[in-house]
Amino acid sequence: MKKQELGTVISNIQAAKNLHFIKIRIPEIAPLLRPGNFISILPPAQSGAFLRRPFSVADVSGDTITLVIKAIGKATAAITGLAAGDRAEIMGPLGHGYPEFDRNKKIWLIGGGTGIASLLFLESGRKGCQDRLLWGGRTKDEIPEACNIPCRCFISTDDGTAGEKGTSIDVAKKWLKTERPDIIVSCGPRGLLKAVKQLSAETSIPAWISTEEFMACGMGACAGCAVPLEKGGYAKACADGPVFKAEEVIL
Amino acid sequence: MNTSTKIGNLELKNPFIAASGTYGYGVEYTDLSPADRWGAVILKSVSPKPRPGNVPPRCCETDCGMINSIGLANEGLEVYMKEKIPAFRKAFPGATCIASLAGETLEEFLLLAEKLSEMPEIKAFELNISCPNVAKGGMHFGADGNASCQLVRECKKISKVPVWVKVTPSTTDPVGVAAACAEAGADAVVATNTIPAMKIDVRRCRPVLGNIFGGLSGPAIFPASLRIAYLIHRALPELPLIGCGGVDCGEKAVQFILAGCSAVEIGTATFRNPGTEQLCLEYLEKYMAEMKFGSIEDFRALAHRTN
Repeated sequence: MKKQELGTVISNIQAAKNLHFIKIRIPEIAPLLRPGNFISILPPAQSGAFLRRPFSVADVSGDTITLVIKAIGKATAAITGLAAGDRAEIMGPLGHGYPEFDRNKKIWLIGGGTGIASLLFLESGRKGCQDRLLWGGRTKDEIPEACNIPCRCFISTDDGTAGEKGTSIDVAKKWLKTERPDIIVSCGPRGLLKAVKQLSAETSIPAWISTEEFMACGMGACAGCAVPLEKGGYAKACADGPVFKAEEVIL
Repeated sequence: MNTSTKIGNLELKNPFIAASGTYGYGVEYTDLSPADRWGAVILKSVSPKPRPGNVPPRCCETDCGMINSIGLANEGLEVYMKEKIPAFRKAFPGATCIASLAGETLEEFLLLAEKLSEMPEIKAFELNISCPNVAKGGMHFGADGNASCQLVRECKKISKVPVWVKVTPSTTDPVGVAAACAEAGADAVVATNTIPAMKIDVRRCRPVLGNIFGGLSGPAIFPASLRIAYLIHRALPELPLIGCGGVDCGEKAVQFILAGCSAVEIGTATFRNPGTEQLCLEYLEKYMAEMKFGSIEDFRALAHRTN
């Protein structure tokens, strides 16, 4: 059941120069969310942005969700400017999330930038599993200093200003020399997802990816967020995804 | 107060119609903007054969609107008749359903009209001769009065339901095209469709859309769409007219009615706020009460009065 709800911002923590963790109370939608689902926010009026903006959910605690947002345009600038007590109109749950992964399987979760969000949600339900979380960013401006993640989290940046120098794929490849996960799950920019798909093909480790596409409706009506499929034709990122098996989509 | 309206002989419980291409197959918005709340819903355009649609990216935002180049992506007539229409009927047996027909040739339009006339759920056809995003058919029909005229005349011979024609704003003579459609027997004209447009990414130094060009929609196009509807009504006051383009609130919808429209399509605004049709209806009721209008006919085309 999709709902529209006027949420209340609980907190907005600037975790890095350009990375905000925003908690919003949405009692109707929050209990319906599963890892990999996303919500859409109506941008604040002063932003001048017309369409809603989709964001993966990073955590659900009771009636409150956490979003991980980087200001890249007028809508995200306005949303990262929200303060505790501000209202935000939210629609959700949207999209098909991750499948239920076996707790005995070892998953490597590879996140790029704000793509970390859905991986944090997925991981919050897998405490005690032998998973590993890799979080890559361009610079330290996109990665929080104190990384309070419930599993082993490994940070890397393209310029080496935080964590190891290199991409999260570089790190994964290094680890693969000595160990091997059962499953890879990834969310982030297209370049990262492409590299994950290639890695999955090379190593035969099954991979699930969560795609990021520009969307208009967010509910499968407009066919604007087309993702090309290996078998031909297109899927809709918003309704058929955003999570796909890496081998099924063309990136 | 009565908010029902008539387009020719087709009666709608309110004047708000979900615009084709923005409302899927009528079930996607079940939770937030159910089909039976609308006066009617026009399902996504159907073509005889499946169409994968255009190369992504297919849409982007602009000031007060968006540009899309979906390319009439759809699964074709067979899936439409066997799956989409039955699913819609099951979910919303009481809703008024209109089919948008998208052929590349006259023959394709006729095939669609013939087959879909067999489906009693469909209460009218909207001929999409104004899509800017396809190489054949679409706008190339709609910009040419003679081609539009022949198409409508032939479709009228076959069709068992009213035939509406959605005309393009991209012609120097929209009134001429509407007149040709009326002459050929169109039961209503829908004014208008998206306006051809583009956007360039200054960092990538390339067009944003995979198809380079798309159709501009949203509040940005409202004043231009309104003008065309007004012009068509002024020239053809007897022709049932439906306004389309940029309506995102009741006040804009009322402007279309004052320009002469019997109904108003809402599309892009639904993406931003599913439930826009409900807000429009609430505004309309309040407006009619305050203005002491008992029916849509009481104020339709009132902006044309000369005294």
